[in-house]
Amino acid sequence: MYMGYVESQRLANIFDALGFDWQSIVAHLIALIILTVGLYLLLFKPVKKMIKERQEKIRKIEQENNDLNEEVKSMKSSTEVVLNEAKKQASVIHDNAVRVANQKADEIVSSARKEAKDLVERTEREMEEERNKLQSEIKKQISDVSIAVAEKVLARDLTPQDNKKLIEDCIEQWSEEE
Amino acid sequence: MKKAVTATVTLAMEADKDTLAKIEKFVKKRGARKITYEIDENIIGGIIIQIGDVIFDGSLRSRLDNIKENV
Repeated sequence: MYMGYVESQRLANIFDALGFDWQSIVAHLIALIILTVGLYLLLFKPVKKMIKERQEKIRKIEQENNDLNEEVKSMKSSTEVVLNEAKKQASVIHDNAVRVANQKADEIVSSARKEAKDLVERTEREMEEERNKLQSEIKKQISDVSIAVAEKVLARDLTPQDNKKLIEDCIEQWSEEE
Repeated sequence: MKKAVTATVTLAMEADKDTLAKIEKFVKKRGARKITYEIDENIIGGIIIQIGDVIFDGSLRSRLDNIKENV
């Protein structure tokens, strides 16, 4: 202990000779230590924590971003599959629709032809009937006129001798019929 | 045929005696005792004899009507 006191006295004399105030230096050192510890506790640690949290956040965001990208890729791929399938189905539907439309058109044309043919036949039949009716009418009129003319001619030109012959022929015929 | 009393004879014009005799003979043969004569120009020519319900139609009118119907 005496050696230590002597050593410290010696050290103090050296510092005095050099012009250093060892008390001030110690005080400064203590202050520095306090400052450093304080900075560490109040600044360095929270900042480190904040930086760590920020990094963690960034990492999570990047992870989410990657997951989203993967999801988008997967959805894009599914969408393409669905689109292709839809295109195929649309093509099938289109072909079917064209086929059905053509079939319907053929049926309509066929039906229209049949109707036209029936109409023509019906019209021809009606015209034939009308023609026959007209012919009958004309025949009847000719007949009526002829009979009327015959009546007039007979009434005018029938002689008593002709009438006598007529009467006698009738009586003879009736007598033979019995 | 039933015996009827009157026969009606329709002529278009007057007939001579010879014809009348033949008519009478025909009519009497069918049982008629009395004959009634009528002149009707509408029958045009020939004779119509009605004895009871039986009619003997030999008129030109009926012949023309038959032709008209059959045409």
